[in-house]
Amino acid sequence: MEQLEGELTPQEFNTWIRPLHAIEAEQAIRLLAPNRFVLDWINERYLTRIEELLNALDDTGEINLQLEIGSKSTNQPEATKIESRSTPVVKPMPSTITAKTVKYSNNLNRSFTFESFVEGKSNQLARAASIQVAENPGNAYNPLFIYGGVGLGKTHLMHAVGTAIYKQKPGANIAYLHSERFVADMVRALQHNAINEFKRHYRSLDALLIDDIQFFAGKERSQEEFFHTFNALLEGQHQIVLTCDRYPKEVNGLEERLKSRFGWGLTVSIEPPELETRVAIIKKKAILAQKVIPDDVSFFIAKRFRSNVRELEGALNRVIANANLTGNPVTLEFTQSALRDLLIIQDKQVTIENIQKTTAEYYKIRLADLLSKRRSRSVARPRQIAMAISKEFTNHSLPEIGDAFGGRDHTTVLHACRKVTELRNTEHRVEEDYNNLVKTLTS
Amino acid sequence: MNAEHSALKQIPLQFGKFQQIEFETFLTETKTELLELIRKIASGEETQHLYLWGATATGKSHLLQAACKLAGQAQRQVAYIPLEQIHEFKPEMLHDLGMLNLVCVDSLECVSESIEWQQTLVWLYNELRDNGHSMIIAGNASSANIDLSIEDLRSRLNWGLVFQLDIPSDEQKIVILKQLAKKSGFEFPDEVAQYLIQRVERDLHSLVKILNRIDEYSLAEKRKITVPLVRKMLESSL
Repeated sequence: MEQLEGELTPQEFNTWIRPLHAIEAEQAIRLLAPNRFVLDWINERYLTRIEELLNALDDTGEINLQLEIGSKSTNQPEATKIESRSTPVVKPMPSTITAKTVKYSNNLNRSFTFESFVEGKSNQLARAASIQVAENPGNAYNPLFIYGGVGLGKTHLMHAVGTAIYKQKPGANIAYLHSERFVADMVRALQHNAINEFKRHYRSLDALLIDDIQFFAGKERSQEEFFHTFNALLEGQHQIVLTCDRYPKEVNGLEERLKSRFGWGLTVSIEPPELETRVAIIKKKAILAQKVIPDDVSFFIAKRFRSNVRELEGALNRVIANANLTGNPVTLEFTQSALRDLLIIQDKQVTIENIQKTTAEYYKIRLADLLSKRRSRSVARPRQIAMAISKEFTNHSLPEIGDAFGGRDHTTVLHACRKVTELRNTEHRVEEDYNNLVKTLTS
Repeated sequence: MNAEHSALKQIPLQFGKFQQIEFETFLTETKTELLELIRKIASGEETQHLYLWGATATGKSHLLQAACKLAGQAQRQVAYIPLEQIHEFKPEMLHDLGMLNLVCVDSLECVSESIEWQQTLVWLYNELRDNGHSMIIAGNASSANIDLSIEDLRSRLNWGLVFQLDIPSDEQKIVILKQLAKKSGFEFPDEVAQYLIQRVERDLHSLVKILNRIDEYSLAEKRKITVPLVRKMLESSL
């Protein structure tokens, strides 16, 4: 390994060699690659060299090297195996993958249960409907359609339904998957002449749970196949649960017949959690992290981070990590300090007006010019930077920012943000200016 | 082997001998907390998902690769995923990496055009989280500003801990250059470093490349590294 590390760039070594796991056996070494892509890559580029190095260590030159798919934790290689002898005799990879290699698993996350889901007004209905469905799959509400923004618990409920059904009926044929995975599986099945097996698998499920169905938009072939799967499952009274980031009728690029079917069962929304639920979530997460969080700190975080649960948990994670690293107790003062940069955004201390004024002063140009229609570089660049900072450090929408900068279109703001991101990476001066402005605005 | 091997070297960032990365080389006075955290993640003392963001040449790749090396030394399974090379890869390369102890994903901005990559990253994030393993992602913009079409991925960046990496000051850059030179077995005098930083592109990537050239040039000329020597080298390359 050391020798190989010296021969490859650190990037190559970290990307391809470190993920491998070697298991020594008598006169043999099994090398486990995490997936087929890595296995193929190693096989094509590094296997010969690895064998050379191994044989240089062994006088007999008879070490048998086997490259397989598997991992340290499973230590259970899958069917694919490449075996070689001391003189590189590497068996070729199968050129065609048979239907046997297209595998399906239920993908259920057992930690997402109803017990670990924090209930509040914002998700009460969705939770109650999910419990009904879990207790009476195929009969209560079919399909159950849960929609809402990111990080609010849609996926959690979906897994909870699957896990509860599985508990009641061990051996039930359940599949949780993202809509993109359904599409990818279908494409793979078509490529490998296994479409009949694909159809058989999905149409024979006891429960099908598909996340983020908005990604079916515009994929007509997948929608067609899903439509037939949907009908077959519903006919057989097998449960379907779907999630989406919006109300089904609002998903563009989705066939009308699918939209109408999605509404046959029950459609429920999940809203961002209210204060009490946010506090309850913090307390539950703190217990899981084995950390004592005082009430004033829980309320402080819950009041400041409102939009979704991930953001809330992210803030709590940061407080706990800082406390663990510094050894300080979690107090309100400590929390305010640990979350300082996040709070600046939350507090909206940075206003567009302030950004414009500070930027104009920094570049020594007139505020009126910054807001004018002038497009000379000396004014346009500071204006773009001020727009980008407004986008990052305020909660204003792009049209609002455009309005505040002399009635410009939101696409102008979008262009400015992209341009500034690009320039910050390529022009040192722009990056320094940007950071100086942010420091001035937030200190 | 050598001929075959050199054909594999298609990595865009070639720092020559200075690419032998050590964790200590990542020098910063302000981010000791982050370094300590990464040390703990790499060694397995701590499980976290981190998002590191900052402009080019703020040390993101350096830090990720140093974390991989540390994790490897601690006998932990780890992978570094350079997304700037996705034209050579497929999203399938991320499948089942959730079984590794740590996955470091670099240049997140490179998947802005690909929903498939973004979605696969969400799966990988979930898989690692479910398995109690860690992930460090690096990108060139904050979670609010990075160009992503899958909001689930963006919200996950805020789920873990987020750190911004600043461009090192000129003084810090000089210290880094001197450390790298020392590691490579030669002295890089202060006055030469000062001279260089005032005359060439000041981002660390460019500076490290020039340092590499200076070393080779001084060996070829059989002269010590001095301001006149560096001036001559720079003039000859104009």
